[in-house]
Amino acid sequence: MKKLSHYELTTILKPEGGMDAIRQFAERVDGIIAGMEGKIVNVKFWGEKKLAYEIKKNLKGNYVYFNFVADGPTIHEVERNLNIWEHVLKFMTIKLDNKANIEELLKSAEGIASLTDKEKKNVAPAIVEETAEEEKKEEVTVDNKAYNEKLQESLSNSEDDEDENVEL
Amino acid sequence: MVYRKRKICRFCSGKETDLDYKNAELLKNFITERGKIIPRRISGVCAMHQRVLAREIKKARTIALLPFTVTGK
Repeated sequence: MKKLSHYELTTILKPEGGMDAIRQFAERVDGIIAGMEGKIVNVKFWGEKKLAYEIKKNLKGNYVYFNFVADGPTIHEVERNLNIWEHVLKFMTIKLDNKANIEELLKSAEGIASLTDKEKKNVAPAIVEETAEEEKKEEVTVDNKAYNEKLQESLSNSEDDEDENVEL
Repeated sequence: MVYRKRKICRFCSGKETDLDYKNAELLKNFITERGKIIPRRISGVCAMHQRVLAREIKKARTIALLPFTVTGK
């Protein structure tokens, strides 16, 4: 009897090939896990996201998230393959701490059928995010003005205002 | 002397339950514009949650959801 644990694997793929490439990739990962008596609970496509920093000259990446049950050597095998596949930019496996629920997870496992095209849904929030960032920048500049005004006021005022300086 | 009201930990109050590296939008509130983790004396997060928070921010950095540094370029 293998000792199974619950894992999650987040992978970043090159933003090429569209949904077919993602589905194909998920099938290959599923093939490895299933071949070693593991089971995928669910797979999610987070959409094409902007990376926080450049990875192998890429500024954007397709995020694919796997939630699965497997044993230690399986993780080793999956990671070995991810290192070989050139379209995988980066990946991170995390062991989740819920040993008690593994049997339940195996029962409720959906496999790679749970992979759906969420790119369309993700487009709208991305735009909102960008505008929100712009707004933040504006707010910061306004704050700076207000801050400067306060500072000058407090400087021009008499001794009693030392407390205000502390507060600023 | 200026006495200020003690800040309450956002995670202890039960409003924020999804403290996870996947929730990068939440974690963004706890890093500076330069990408540094905000100390808990500023953010008011309790010691226990600050440890969890720091761990999740570091995970999010690993998978490029959050930056390690933000430079002017």
